[in-house]
Amino acid sequence: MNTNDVFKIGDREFDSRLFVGTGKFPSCDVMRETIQASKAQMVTVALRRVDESGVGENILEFIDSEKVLIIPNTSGAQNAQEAIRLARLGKAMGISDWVKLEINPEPRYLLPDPIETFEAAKVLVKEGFKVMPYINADPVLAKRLEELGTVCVMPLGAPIGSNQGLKTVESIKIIVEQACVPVIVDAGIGAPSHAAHAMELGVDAVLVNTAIAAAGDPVAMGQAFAMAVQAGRNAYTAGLGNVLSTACASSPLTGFLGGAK
Amino acid sequence: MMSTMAESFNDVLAATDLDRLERIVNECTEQEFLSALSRTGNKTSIEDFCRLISLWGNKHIEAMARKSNMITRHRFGKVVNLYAPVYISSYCNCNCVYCGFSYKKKIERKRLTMDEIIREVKLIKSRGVQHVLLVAGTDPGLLNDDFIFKVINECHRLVPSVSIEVEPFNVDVYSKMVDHGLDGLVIYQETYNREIYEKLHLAGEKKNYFGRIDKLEQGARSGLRRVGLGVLLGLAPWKKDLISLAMNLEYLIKKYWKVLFTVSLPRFQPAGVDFNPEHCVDDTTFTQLICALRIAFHDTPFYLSTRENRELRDGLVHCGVTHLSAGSKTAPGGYGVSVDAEGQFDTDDTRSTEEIVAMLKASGLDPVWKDWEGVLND
Repeated sequence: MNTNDVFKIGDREFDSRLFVGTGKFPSCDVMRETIQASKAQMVTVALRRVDESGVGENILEFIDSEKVLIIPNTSGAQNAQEAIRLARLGKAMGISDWVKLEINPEPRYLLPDPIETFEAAKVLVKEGFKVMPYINADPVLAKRLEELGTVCVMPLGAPIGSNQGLKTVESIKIIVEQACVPVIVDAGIGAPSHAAHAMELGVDAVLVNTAIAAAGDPVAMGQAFAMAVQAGRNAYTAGLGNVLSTACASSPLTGFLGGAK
Repeated sequence: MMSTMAESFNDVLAATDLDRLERIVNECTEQEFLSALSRTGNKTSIEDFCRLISLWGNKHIEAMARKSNMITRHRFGKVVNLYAPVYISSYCNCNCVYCGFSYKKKIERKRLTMDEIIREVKLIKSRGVQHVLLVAGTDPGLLNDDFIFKVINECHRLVPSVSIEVEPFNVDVYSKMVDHGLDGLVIYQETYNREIYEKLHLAGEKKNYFGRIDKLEQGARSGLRRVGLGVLLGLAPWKKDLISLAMNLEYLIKKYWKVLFTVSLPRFQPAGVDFNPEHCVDDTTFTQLICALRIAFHDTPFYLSTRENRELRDGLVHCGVTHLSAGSKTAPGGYGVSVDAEGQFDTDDTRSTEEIVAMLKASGLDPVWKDWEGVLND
């Protein structure tokens, strides 16, 4: 393993390249155990779920903020103004000035609105937020957001929670090729093999929620993803072989011509 | 189901041959049922929905429940959202023969004052509730002096999510409610069977069958985030009602793409009325209908009230239901202000919120009290 392979985003450095989302778990205790097992150092929390009434369970109390960076997300926001209000709320509550910017105007596929996301990012970056925008796998939008000053871009592999894997793979390759900020594949990853595939492509990290939280054994699945992300990363840094359409023998047939001497 | 959008769902219904669809339900073979059940994907045709509500579903209820649960867990996770109704007025200028609030009924009427409403909401909030559903009869007094808007505003300050189930207003009133912090609305059609509808709804605005169907769209146009619909099972033959409901839901989802539509299927429970429902739906069929809706509509939240008994509610959270009311009182002031007031319907599951939470945890589900943030409605 390449031990110098640190993941840097904004001004923070991490050993893990797996982000874990905190929705859909059967209990906050299972969520806590899963985060530990996954070795994730970055978790996202929907602000709409944060309950500080003191009666119900507060999801934040189950996350060790000493060990992991808690990143509030703006899920529920349908436009820039709502997302900005949520981000400010997260900061005012003392959770974080990081924000996963997520603007889904449509409640079924929860696909991100590029226009509203861009507008919200403009405001939030100016206000000093570390903005992590969830976007469709649109290379031009990724560059535009990077120019605004977002700390990363988070293209989707497939719709949130769909477990379909990297349906947008060709666009993600372009984003990775062009990006000057970390690329984090955010949605659609449904199996550890999908995560490994994304990492092999050179994305900097992946965010997984449904595939872990809704698994038969979330804790074990968290571990499986940790291993897959690391395996994919190692494969990327090791340098994957080229894919050829013709055979390429390990022992060349024409070695006798002298070139092999 | 549809190619171009109609002006109103009334037009869609008028152009639909419900008899043909009902025949698909009645004449469905076991093989056709199983084919419909085994089809995957997000899109279910209305014909397949008809097959899913056919009698074969009774025989294959376990397979339906498993599929429904799988879809629900995948989409919503291992969680159940909790909410509680707050009845704010039992005054009503409608005469609906099955309803305990009908103006013909000789009950003591009550409209809570602002202070009483605040006390009620604070009381249930102290038990964990963060999603309040305000309920009232068709009480014109609610609009006097902007009372209902002030109520919404006060509730919005106390809890993150405020919905309303009050006999329908119009888009302007709904928009004003949204401006005061409302995020959800529920309007039950009760039945799509016009003939029966008109026999049951004798006076008041609710008498207008076509108008009622259009109220859902008025709500959807007003900027509300969630709009709930459903039929009251027991009032009319359920097959055509369920087909109409599924069509209405699909129509609304397509036309109002930013609105989250939710569904509930209340079954008739008497409340001080001499009304015997002629079209009762048994527990197995009731379960089947919820499963069929889930299989057809993966992303639609389903609400289940305390009208149903505990055994059924405990089971149905594994068959497609995503939202449960807990510790409900169905009379104005029922949580503490005026505990002896008369309710709109009788509750069957009288467990406290703590008991519901314990039940959910024991069955591997996370009870979620808060899944909304008030600043979204500011």
